Amino acid sequence: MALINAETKLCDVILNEPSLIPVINRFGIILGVGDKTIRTVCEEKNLDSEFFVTILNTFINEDYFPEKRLKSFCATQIVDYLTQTNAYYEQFQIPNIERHFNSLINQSDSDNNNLELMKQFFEELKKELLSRIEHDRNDWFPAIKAAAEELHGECYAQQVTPGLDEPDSLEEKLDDLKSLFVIHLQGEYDLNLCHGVIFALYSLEKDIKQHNRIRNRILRPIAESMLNSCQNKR
Amino acid sequence: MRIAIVTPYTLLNLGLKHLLQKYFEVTPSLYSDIGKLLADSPEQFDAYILFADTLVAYSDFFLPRKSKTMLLTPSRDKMPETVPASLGIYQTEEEILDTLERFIELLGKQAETLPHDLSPRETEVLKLVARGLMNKEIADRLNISINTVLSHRKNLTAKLGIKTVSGLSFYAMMNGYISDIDNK
Repeated sequence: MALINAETKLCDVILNEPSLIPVINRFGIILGVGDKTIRTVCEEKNLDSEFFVTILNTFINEDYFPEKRLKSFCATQIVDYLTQTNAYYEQFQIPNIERHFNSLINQSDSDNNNLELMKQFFEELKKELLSRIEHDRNDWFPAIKAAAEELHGECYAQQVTPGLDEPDSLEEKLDDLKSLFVIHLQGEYDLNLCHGVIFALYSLEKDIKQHNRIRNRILRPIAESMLNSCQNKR
Repeated sequence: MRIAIVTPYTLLNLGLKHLLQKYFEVTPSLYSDIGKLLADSPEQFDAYILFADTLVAYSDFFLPRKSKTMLLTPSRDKMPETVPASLGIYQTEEEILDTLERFIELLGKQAETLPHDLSPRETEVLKLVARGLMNKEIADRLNISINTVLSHRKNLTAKLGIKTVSGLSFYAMMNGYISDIDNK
């Protein structure tokens, strides 16, 4: 889909790309958006329309990642957004996958232990994701916010070296779990419920990929340089 | 399938990327110079698209990968059969698509020579990986070099579509290669 801008009508964007619904939710926008432009919606909700548009664009276009522009936003804004995405994983996406998984297992042939094992693999993945969220919430994000306060919003982006996409074990595990379903699934199972699990996994994976790009390539380098300058000041 | 496109021409790179993504199951990666490719584990790619001068200058790397390399050529003439696959940059869109299609089909044929079933050795490596052994320990246990272990693991990932140790463990359990997670 083409890039959007602040004059685009929000309803057109969502009609074209329904996977954005949870993303706009993170900004406090719910369905029933009317036919207003993004700029108007952002003014009403007191949101930074440039940040909002950039996040939506990186979500719509996997190839689009305007590093310079993303680094021009303040760290606390990015932290707030990532906090919301974490909350979405924790409160909605993970429970949703679990719900689908449980009904899939309950409705499928009980001799089929494949699904049980795949569920265990998912549990492992879930544990990893939740412990990362826990660490964000209790340590990393508060430290960044404290540093931002101490530095009184001085801009750090210019001095920051670009961060790298690290191979991420969550992404790799999600990918493996998808392979287990798509390539290796055996035995009798309920087809529709199986679709439910796979689609839910795909949508979590897409979201985590976007989250990780912002986290590793934008927030991490900015945060490191902020935390360093705080230490030097002391 | 992953293809590296290595030319200094941004628009040319983007044009090829666009065609590859729009019409083929290909993930293109763009490099404005060869140094960047070489610094980015170049072996990871299934194929390379570049100009002849790059191939000549880095023949140590590209000659052994000749069958996976496509040369961009500014010439309007047909290239002799002896050179690797070639793509004329002045060709029409339809001709370019046609050439790319044949190249990608050829790559697919080469890739299919890898049998889908696991060899007995690969199965042994899988079992040990699934039990949580490190590459070094597996090498010692099976009396093979670390490099051989790595190459078995690469094949496992390619054949099974599974990369992580936990993924491999669960695959091994699902197929009865190891009995349960306590073995890890």
